[in-house]
Amino acid sequence: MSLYITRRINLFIFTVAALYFLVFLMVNSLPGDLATNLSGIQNPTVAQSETIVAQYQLDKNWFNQYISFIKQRMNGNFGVSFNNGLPILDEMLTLLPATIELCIYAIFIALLFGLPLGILAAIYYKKTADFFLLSTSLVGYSIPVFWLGVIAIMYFGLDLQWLPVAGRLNLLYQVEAVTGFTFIDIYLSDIQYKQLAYNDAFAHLIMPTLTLALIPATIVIRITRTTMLEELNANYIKASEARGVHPLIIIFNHALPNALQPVFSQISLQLSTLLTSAMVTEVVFSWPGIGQWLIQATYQQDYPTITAGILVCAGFVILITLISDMLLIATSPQQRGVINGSK
Amino acid sequence: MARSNSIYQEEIIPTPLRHIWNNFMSYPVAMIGLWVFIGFVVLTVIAPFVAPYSPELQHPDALLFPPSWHDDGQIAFFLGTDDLGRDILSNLLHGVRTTFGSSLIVTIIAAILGILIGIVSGMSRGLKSSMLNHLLDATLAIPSLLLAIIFVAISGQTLTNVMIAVSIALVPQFIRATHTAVHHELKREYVVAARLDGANQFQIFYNVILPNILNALIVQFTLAISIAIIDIATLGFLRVGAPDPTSEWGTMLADGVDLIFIAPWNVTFPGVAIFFSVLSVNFIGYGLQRAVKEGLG
Repeated sequence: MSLYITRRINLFIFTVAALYFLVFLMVNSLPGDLATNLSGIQNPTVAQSETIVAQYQLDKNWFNQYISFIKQRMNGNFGVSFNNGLPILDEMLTLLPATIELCIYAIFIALLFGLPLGILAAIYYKKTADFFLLSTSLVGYSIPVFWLGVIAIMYFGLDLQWLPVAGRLNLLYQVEAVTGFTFIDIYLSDIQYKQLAYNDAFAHLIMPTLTLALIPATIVIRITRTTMLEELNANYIKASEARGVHPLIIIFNHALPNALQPVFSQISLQLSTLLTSAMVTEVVFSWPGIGQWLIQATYQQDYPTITAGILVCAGFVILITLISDMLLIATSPQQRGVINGSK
Repeated sequence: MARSNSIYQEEIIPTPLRHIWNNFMSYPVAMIGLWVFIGFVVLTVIAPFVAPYSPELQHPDALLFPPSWHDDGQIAFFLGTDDLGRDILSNLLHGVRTTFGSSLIVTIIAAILGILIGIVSGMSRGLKSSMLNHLLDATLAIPSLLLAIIFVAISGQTLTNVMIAVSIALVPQFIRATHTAVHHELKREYVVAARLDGANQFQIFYNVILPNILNALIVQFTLAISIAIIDIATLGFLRVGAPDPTSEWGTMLADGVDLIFIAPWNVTFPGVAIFFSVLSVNFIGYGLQRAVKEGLG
């Protein structure tokens, strides 16, 4: 196990280095002055430009530049935005929780609906329920996220006026952003109508979360169905059936734990797709998250912000993949041999 | 099933691809998907000839007409008009070319590039393979759409750049699929047998591995088409897609959002078009996956 962890962390460091290298190449190929693109300071004074050259070792060769680029970014120096001249890191830290919040709720909803429906489809394999669930998941998978969002706004927001169409919280509630997660912030704040604020935050969450959750949910349904089918056809299940174990016990105690592992490892692979659709969802619902911020930055050709966004989003994906791999290995010993390459 | 029914009792065993095709044809939903897909391909070619108007033609006396089955609609504008009086049907038909047609081209380019690199990285071992792998992991971790948006933002907003951007976003997925498939097959015993017979790397790949990974690549290809359609439309929706006079479904939808309250058909129809094209591709993909699984047991 410790050998595996060392190998995996080694791999993690190399992947992050490769990511930094790609982004470094990108920064070098951007139009405009390299020093400006790295630091974000437009028209620097002589003193400023000397600091930039020293910080990023621009007078040295490309390898030194690459290393000092990693050093600066690792220390949290992402430069300043072209747009407003503020440090990018601060801005990012206020926006990141909103995106993480949205993604976590969406994954939760996807699992909440996807897992039971996938199991159901596997149990009723090649029956009406299976056919119905499978075709629904294929149809759901084909709906473009932005269209779904717009249609939802049209019916539930404008026609029926059930739900708010934009933002995270009504401006009436002056909640100070401490952690960036709405519910925790409301809990920590000392406003008068907490219950109303909770309700309002929840109403704002419903549409973006459900929109974002649709595609992961359909993927979860299909993966769960496939892995459950494989498990249900295995010999140990037939043996338990022959012994007269109750079908529900077979499904939930014997087959499900084994079927869940591939599901989780597949979901961690889908994370970068989820971030992509989260960006679009944020734009549609004016959700003040990192995706909307990045897309605004591309409109304004704000290069330091764009590179920072790529580094953070991709780094986040790599980190989550590492953690989920570790958890997978920790919970399922039979996986270790395969990944170690000893088999 | 594979045997022929002729009186000579000849045994004709279909090739693996033929077998998959036979399985595929027995699945009605997949066939519907295939026919819709073929319909879209035909429209890609003939769209300019069947469209009633030019997509840019503005009818100043017919602004925001609803679809023809509505009480206020006119049959001259079958699916209604937008706020500049442009016919929605004509725009949709021309959009088949930009959104659907270019996604096909993009996928083909990405497939060729990605499969070639995937083969090289899959067949190689040791340092070269692991270096390629880490680079690939890093690229796959970057959200693909973000990569595409940035590419378009930097290199300028033209249809060609959009297509290049989307294929850049697709290539890593092809590399990954090919790499995994090749790597998986390399461990099989029949590959070792071929190597013992003295086959060189190219012969092993071309004669031994390729026929066995072809089905995985075909499935990946259909998957990539649906991703390409959605990506091109999404870029259009975010207004970094095909530039303005070009009709593109995503851009049309984005234009319609401002009018959603008074003219919802401006949003509905482009969305329906994207939805059906993606759905047809996904049906084909699902049918192929099923056919491959059942065909090779």
